[in-house]
Amino acid sequence: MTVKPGKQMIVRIVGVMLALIIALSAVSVWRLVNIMIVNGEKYQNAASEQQLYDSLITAPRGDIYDRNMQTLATSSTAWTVYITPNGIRKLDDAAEKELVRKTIAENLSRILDVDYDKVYADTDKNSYYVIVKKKIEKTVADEIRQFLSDYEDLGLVKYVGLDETTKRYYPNDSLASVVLGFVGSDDQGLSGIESYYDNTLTGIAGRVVAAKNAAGTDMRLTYESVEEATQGNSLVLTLDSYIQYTAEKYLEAAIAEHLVAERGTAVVMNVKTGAILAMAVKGDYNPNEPFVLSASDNQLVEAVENEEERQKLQSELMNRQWRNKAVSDTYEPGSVFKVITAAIAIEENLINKNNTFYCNGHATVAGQGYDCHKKSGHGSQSLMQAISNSCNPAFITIGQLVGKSSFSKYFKAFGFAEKTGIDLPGEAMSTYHSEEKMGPVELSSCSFGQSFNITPVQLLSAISACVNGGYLVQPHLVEKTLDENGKIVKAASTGYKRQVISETTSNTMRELMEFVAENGAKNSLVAGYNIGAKTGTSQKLSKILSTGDSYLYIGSCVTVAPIDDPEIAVFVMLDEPKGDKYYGGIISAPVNSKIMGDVLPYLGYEASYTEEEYKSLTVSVPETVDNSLSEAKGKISAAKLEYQVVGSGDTVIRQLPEAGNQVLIGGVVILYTEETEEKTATVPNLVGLTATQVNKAAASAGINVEFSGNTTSPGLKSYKQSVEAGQAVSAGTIVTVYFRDDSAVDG
Amino acid sequence: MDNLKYYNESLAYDFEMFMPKPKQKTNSRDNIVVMPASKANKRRQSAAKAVSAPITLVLCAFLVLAGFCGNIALRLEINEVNSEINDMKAAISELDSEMISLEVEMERRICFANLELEAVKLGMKKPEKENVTYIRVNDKNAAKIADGTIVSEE
Repeated sequence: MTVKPGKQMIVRIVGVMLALIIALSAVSVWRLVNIMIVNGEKYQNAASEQQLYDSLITAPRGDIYDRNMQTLATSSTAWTVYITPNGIRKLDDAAEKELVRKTIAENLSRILDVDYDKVYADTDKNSYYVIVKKKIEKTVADEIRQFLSDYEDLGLVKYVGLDETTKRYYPNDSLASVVLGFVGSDDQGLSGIESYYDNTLTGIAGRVVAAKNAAGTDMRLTYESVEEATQGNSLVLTLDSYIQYTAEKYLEAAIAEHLVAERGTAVVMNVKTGAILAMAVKGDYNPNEPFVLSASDNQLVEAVENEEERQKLQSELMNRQWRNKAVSDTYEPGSVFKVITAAIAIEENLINKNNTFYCNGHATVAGQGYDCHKKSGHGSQSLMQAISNSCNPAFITIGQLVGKSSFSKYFKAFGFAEKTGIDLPGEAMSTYHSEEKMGPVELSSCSFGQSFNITPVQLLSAISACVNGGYLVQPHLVEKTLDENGKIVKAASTGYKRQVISETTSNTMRELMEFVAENGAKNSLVAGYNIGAKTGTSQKLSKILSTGDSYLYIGSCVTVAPIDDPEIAVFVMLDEPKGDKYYGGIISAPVNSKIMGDVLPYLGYEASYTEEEYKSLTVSVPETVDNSLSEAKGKISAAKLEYQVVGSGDTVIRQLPEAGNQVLIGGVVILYTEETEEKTATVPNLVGLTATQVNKAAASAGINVEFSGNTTSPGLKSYKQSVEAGQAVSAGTIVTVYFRDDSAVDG
Repeated sequence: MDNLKYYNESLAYDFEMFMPKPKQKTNSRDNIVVMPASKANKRRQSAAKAVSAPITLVLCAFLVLAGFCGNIALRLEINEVNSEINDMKAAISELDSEMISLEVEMERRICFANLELEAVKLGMKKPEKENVTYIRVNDKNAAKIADGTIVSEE
C-alpha cells in the first residue's frame, strides 16, 4: 500500500523547493543587475562596437565669393582610391595572386598617373587599407569603376575601393592666391582666408550609425541612423575679381620689367570703409597645387646638389610663395611716410602749406649727417614743394618741430604701433622707436620714413586717414557671411577706429598729395582724373649691413583718387629691383597709374580731360572695308582721324590700321581701293622726344602712334618704342611709344 | 395528535392545500441515468471544444504564419526601397559633384586671364577709357539699353 507523504513532509518539500527557486532567482537577478546596471555601459559599448558601424559624413566646406558673387573657392565630392592588400595576400593560388597584383598595378598606375612599382609594392603590404591616390574627380572615379567592371571575373572589386571625400577647387587658379590661401588633405584651412575663417567655413560633420555583420561589413538595410552633415557658412569677400586681376597683371609686368628679386605687392582699398578691393602679391602660387613651386624656383632647387639643403631650400621657397607680403612682411616705408609727418605737423599747427624750408643738400642732427637725394640741394621751397621734391632735410626740420612726444603720440594714433586687425593670419607687428628710446637722430630718420618697419596695410590705412577726413578705418576682406541658404549671418562693420586728424588738416593733405602727383610723381598721373600721390624709395638698411650689398632698395608709391573726395587708394611696392632704375617714382608709380586707369572707369568714375590730355587721347578706328569711298571718308572724319587713299577704286577693300585699333586723334588711316602692294613706311626714331615731337615724326613717316604712360606733363620725353627705329612696316602701322618722368626721384 | 387525525379524516375540513405533498414518482427507464443539468452542460461544452480546438489551432497557426511572412515581405519591400533610395542619393551626389566640376571648369575657362588671352588671339583690343560714353539720367529721364533694359536713376 502506497504511503502518501504527510502534511509535514509536503510543507518541508515545498519549503526546500521554494528556497531553491529563491536562490536561483537571486543568482539570476544578481547577474542581470551586474550585466545591465553595474557593467551596463561597458557591455552596451561592447555590443555597439560589435554590432554597429559608425562613420562620419564630411561636411561640405563653405564657398568663398568675391563682392560680385563670383566663386573664388568651392568644394565638391571627390574620391580616394584604396586597395586591400591583405585580401590579395590571402589568395592561395600564387599565379592568381600575381595576376591580380599586376592587373591592379598596371591599371591603377595608368588611370591615376602614379608609379607602377609603388602600386605593385603596395599590393603586397600587410594592411587592409592602403591609399593609392586621394581626391580624384568623378571622371577618374568612373574609369576606376569601369576597370573593376572589366575585370569582374578576377573579382578585383574585393581588393580595390573608392571612398567618398571632398575636394577644394579654386576656379581662377592663382588669382588672389595669397589672400584665399589653401586647405590641407583633411580640408582644414592652412593659409589665408581659408585658415583665418576655418571655423566659419567648416561645417558640422554628420554621422552614420548602421548595423554591421561578423565580417565587419555594414548592413545599412538592417539598421541605419543618419545625422546629416551641416554645410559650413560661406564668405563674401570685399575683393573684386576684375580689380584683383588688373592689379596682378600690372604688378607682374613691373616685376618682370625691373627684375624685382624679392617679390612685389599691390593693394587697392576703399579709403572710407577699409574694404580691400584687391590685394596682389606676385611670386605667388596656384592654390589648386599649393605644394608646386614656380618654374624659376624649381630651377633654384634643382641646382642644389646636397639632398638636405635641397629640401630645406624647397621648404623655404614654398613658405615664401604662400607668404602674404602686404600683411606678413614689414619694411621701411621711406618717403611715402612724409605724408604722415606733414599731417602731424599741420594738425599740431606747427606748419602750414605756405611755410618755407631751406635745403642745401645736407642736414646734420646731433653729429649724424643726412644727405638729400639732390646733392646740390633744393634751395628755398614751400611745404608743397618740399613734399613734392621729397626733400629729406626739409622733413628733418619738420620732425624736429613736431618733437618726439607728439611724433610718438601720432605714430600710435595712426595705428603704426599696433596690428591693423585685418582678417588674415600672420599679420606682422611693426618695429619702431619708443618715445623713451627716441633721440634726435632717431626722430630725424623717422621723419622721412627710415629706421622703423611697418606693413603695407598699416601704411595704406594711415594714408587713407590723411585723405578721408582724418578717420582711421579698419581694413578688412570679408564683407559678409552667408549660411547654406544664402541668408546673411554676419556683415562687416564699416565704422572707423578713431579720428586721428581734423577734416581741415585732411583737406590740406589732399591738396599736398595732388600737388605731388602733378609735380613730383608725374608717372602716377591718370589722364582725365585728378589724383593724389606720394612715392618713396627706401634702403633695406638691415640687409645692407648684413650682406654688404648696397644696391638693396624698395620702390613704392601710394595714390588716391578722386582727390576732391577720395574713394580709392592704391599702394604698390617692388622689393629689390635689380634693373637700372629703383626709384619708386620711376618703377612703382607707373603701376599705380595703370591700375587706377583701369579701376576708376570700372567703378563708374567719369573721365574729364584737359585740353592737353585730349591731344593724347586715342580713338577706335572705324570699319570701312566694303564701304564706298565717300562713306569711308565720312566715317574716318567723324572719328577725328585723317585718311590716305591708295588706288582709284570706289570701294575700300582693305584698311590699315584695321578696325578696332586705337590710334591718336588725328592719326592716319590708309584706305586701299585696289589690290596693290601695301604702302610701306620706315619707323623713325621716337625715343627721347616729347609727345608733340613724336606725333610729328610719326605723321611724316606715315605711321600711327599709341602712347603709354604720362604724356601730358610738359617736358616729359619718351624712353621706349615698341617697333625699333629703321624697321620697315606697312604704312599706318601703330607703334606704341612709352613715356616716363625719369626725374621722379625721391629719398 | 388525535386532533390532527380528526381534522385529516373529517370531511368538513380540507387541509389538503397545507399538507405536505407526497413525492411524485417519475416514470423512468431503468437503463437510462439522467444527468444533472450542470453536468450535462459541461459535457456539452467539452464536446464542442473537442471539435473546434484543432480548427482554431490551425487557423491560429495560419494567421501567425501569414503575419510572419507578411512581416518578412514588408521588410523586404522596405529594404528594396531603401536600397533604391540610397542608390539614387549616391547618384545625385555624383551628379552634384560633376556639376560643380563643370562649373569650376567653366569659371576657369572664362576667368579674366583666359578671356584676355583669347581676345588678343582674336585680334581684339580693350577699349580705352576715352572710348567709354557715360549717360547721365535724372529722375525724370531714363536710358534704354540695346537689349531693352531701362536704366533710371534710383
